[in-house]
Amino acid sequence: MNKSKSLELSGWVFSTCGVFVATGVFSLCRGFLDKGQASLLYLPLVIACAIRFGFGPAVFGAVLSFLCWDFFFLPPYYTFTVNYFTDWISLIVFLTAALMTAQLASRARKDADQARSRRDEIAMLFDASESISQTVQAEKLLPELADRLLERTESTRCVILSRSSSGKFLVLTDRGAGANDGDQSSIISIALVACEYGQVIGFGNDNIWRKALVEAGLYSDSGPIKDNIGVYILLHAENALVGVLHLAPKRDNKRYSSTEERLIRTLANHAAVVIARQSLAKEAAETAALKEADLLKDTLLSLVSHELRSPLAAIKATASGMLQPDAVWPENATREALTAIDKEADRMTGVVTNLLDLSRLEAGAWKPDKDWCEISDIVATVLDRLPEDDARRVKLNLSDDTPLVKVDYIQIALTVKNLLENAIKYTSPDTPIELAVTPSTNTGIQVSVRDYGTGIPSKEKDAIFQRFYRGEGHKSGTVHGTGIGLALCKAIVTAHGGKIWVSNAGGKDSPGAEFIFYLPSGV
Amino acid sequence: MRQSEKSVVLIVDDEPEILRALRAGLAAQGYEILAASTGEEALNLAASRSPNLVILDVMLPGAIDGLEVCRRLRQWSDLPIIMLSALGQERQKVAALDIGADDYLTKPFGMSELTARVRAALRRNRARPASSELPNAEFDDVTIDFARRIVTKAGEEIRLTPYEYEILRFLAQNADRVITHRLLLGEVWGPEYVEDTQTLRVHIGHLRRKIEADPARPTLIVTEPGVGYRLKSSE
Repeated sequence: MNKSKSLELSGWVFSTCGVFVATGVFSLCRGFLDKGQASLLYLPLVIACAIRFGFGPAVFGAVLSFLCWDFFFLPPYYTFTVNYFTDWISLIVFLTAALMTAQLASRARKDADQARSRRDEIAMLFDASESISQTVQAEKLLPELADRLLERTESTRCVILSRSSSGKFLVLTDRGAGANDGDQSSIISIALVACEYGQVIGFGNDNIWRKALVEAGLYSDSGPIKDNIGVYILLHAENALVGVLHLAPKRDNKRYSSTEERLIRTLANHAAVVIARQSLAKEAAETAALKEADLLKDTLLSLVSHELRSPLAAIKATASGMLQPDAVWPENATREALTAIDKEADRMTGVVTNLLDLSRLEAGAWKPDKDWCEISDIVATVLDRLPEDDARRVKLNLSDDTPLVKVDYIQIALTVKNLLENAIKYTSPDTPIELAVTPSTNTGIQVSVRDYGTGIPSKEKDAIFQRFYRGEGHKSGTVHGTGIGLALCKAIVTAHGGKIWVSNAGGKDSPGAEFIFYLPSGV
Repeated sequence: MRQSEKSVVLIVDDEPEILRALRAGLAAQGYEILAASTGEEALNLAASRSPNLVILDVMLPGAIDGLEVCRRLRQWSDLPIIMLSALGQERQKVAALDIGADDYLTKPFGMSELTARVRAALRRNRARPASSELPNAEFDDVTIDFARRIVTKAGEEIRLTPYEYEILRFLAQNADRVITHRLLLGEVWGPEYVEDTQTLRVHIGHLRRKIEADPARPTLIVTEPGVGYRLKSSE
């Protein structure tokens, strides 16, 4: 606004000074000039004024030149008196020509201005639609849209609200100088009324905003009614009302022009698309999550049905067999049956415990209780608890200079135990298992469990750490497994800020898998 | 009930724990046990040792699963087969019965249930060779005279439609055996009607009203949910 005012002022100054300077220059060469030619010299000045500053300054310049010409160039000099009739004609023709030129030139200027603003508008809309198609996050796009609107319309505040299918509003973005004023509740209540009426507030129909103010409870009959509350535009996408865009009144409190209205409506459409797309993306994510949960449930179900039911079936068959009244049980068979029941109960306990541990870890409910530990101590404890035949297969290789680590003793012991049990389970009983602990190049330690089995197919190296995943070769095999152990290891190591991975050790002559985990020394 | 000569039972299951439990439980009942953990092994043992009965898990690892074992056994033998299945394997179970398995049990099951089924299957099998000429059959107070096609209940003759009689005859000749819908429909109505379970249900309903003491809680023709029917002999 200030800029255009100063431009206007400088127009008047330019035309005044221009005419006086030109008059001065022309008067110097009055001797060589015909009085008629002098009038022509003023015309370019008037045209320049018209093009640069518009009609007003140009007319002013034309009249001023007319007077100057009369005063300085038409005899008698230095009076406004005109002696000859022909001079009168010249004067009138000059004034007419100057005025017409000024008119034409200023119109051309106006057209050019309009064309320029159209071009800017189109460029801006193009930018907006391009950024919509490129940016995915509505959080970034909507503020940008709002800023553009504020910039182009000289509004003080732009608020974009989303409307859920249940009719609840959520402020997605609130920009502009007025945003600091807070009060979003009155905007929301007017938006609510706009939605109820299904009508845009602020363009054209005056009654609706008075009605909206009254209905929103923002106007009482006694007080003066605020006559400009800005515009509220309903955002429609995919046949649904997805939100409302509010634009506060302009700084000068004027109504929005039709050009601005067009712009606002266009950008509002963009905003509607963005909101609709956001909700679609959210729905898609929710569907994906549900699908994942469903898959997990299925896997869990089949796991439970196999890993829990088969020991259960064995226990049931054994116990009910012993209970049969007419059965004849040799002494050693009874003992054998009881041992089997005991073993199967342990197997079930193992499955259930692992399952609970994993869900506790993943839910973040089992935080590592860290304390300074010696890893060799943990390893010794784990080996102590393994069946003797299995423990004998494990060859230890402990480095002397391993630093102490700050870890949860029980969780890390569980990790080592799971890795060792896997190695024991999936490899032949006559092959060794090597457990090595080395200081890591980073500050921390690295623990590796290497076996001499068949190794892990490279395409399964990541998948085996997923819960309930079982190696392709073991799905229908005779080795029991739940697909929980490694997922548990990974969850524990990750909770410690470490890393776990598997590689195939050795070459063709001594294949086997090597599971390695790294633990930082302590934080 | 103790056999004079020991009956030989072949147990086929890939779970070593189940195998061990069944072996111990049945051995304690006086049976001689053969055990196999794969389909191939089962077929070999069945051929070389001619067991009196097979207990067969529907899910077996490898190329030959329980169903396939059942199918191949039926090609040359009518020895009783009791299928074992886990919950959720209903489809395989029914398929096994369609192929000709005699009975099924869902894991987990009690040993007394299994031994009862084993005894019933063995008894039925022993009776079968003698029954080429069908004697009269008796279930509770219901008697069936196969030669004269007359059914009586508590001494009074019951009028049955031809379909009802055929259903009763087939169930009676396979007493204590689970008869799938398909088997029953194929036998009574013909192979093109094997999917028509609706018809079967209606006729079973009528039949029950005529021979059961309380048709709402049948004790003779009992339903095996999702599988078929079984005519219970009073043991």
